[in-house]
Amino acid sequence: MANTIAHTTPSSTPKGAIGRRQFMAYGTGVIGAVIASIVGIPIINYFISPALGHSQATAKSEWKEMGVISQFPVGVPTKVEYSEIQKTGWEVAEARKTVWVVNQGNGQVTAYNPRCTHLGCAVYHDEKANTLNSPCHGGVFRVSDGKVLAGPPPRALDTLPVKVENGHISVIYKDFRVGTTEKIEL
Amino acid sequence: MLNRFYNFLDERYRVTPLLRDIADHQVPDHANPTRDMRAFVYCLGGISFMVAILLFTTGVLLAVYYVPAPERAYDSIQYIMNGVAFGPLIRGIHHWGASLLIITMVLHMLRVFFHGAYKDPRQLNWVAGLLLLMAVMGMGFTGYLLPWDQKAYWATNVGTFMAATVPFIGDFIMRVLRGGPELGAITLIRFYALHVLVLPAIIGLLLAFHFLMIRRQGISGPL
Ligand code: HEM
Ligand code: FES
Repeated sequence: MANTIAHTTPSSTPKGAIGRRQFMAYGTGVIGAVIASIVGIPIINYFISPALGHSQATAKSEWKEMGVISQFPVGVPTKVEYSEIQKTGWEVAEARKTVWVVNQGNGQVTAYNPRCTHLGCAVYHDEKANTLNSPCHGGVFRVSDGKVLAGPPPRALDTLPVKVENGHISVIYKDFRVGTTEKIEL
Repeated sequence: MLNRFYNFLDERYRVTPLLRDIADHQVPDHANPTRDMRAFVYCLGGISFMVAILLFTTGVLLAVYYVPAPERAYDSIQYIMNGVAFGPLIRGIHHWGASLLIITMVLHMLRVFFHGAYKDPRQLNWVAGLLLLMAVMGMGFTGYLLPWDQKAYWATNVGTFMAATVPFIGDFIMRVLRGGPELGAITLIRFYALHVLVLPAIIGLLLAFHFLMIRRQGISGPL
């Protein structure tokens, strides 16, 4: 009966060599692995494929008009909202975009991405302190240059490319990685 | 009538020994709260299981009305709350039960820890318990998005961004979780699939292993 146990090697096999039974066992293992990959690879790819595509946000690197500079009060941030059609997966929907625009006075303008650099909550304007605050974990940013005044954010608010032409402010909207000390565009 | 049906089953499948095995299985004295109230700490695992059963039952009931799509999710839950008989009760049990389960599981773990019940030969059951805790936290994370209100959206926004801070592969993990770079319809439906299909199946298997190991090894002895 002993030789019905799969892992006993018949004594005729030289020591160290792979016997018939051992060969069959390895073979079964290999075939099993092949079957597992044939089944597994499509399943895994099916699940992660939306993550492999590139951002489908439309009009990513286009100048977007924010308004006339004289309408923006000096030294306080103004929230500019606009919407654009955005496709995520099969869903085509209007996505609201927000940009915080600061008129610095001397004709200079700064624009911030609204995402807190800690973990991405949308900042709001604290009018009393004149700071941009995160509603999530107490991040506070200075209006003039976006510097972190309090809380966990690892870097200043992200500035966006701005240009002022004939008094009209335009901005290019971009998103950046959150939680990092460097500013890395997505 | 019932008797005859029982006999019919018993003759064919010998169910009596199975039932006897459960009914005659004694609770050891040191784990029996009717002998000493302090033994109540041994009930925490069973209480966790009871809460989980409540969550599964109310979860299935919620799934009868809930629609996992961005334009519908919020409204379908408003309907559960305002239009369905006992809707607020069912949702309330699911909502509070989710937090309660974390509490009872942690207390159960503390019991096992301070009794040293995780030690050899029960180390694999400790591991099974840890996996269960992770799976249940996964249920909490995926379930939290489903109401698709401001809190749900921003919590998942933050939670998936946290995954993005993992070195090197963080951005990829975040995209897999979200099903793309943005939070949207794809995120909601995949969280739903994980919440009602994948994780419950994993939890069911882990619970089965957890309980089979306990039956084999018995409850650990008195201190
Ligand atoms: C370990 C078990 C479970 C936990 C910890 C859990 C956790 C949660 C949480 C935290 C929510 C958000 C509810 C709220 O804040 O109002 C939720 C919602 C939901 N869950 Fe679960 N869940 C569990 C099991 C299940 C099961 C088994 C199903 C269905 C098969 C299910 C179906 C749903 C549905 C449809 C919703 C959306 C409705 C709502 O938000 O009220 N859940 N779950
Ligand atoms: S997301 Fe802004 S402080 Fe955490």
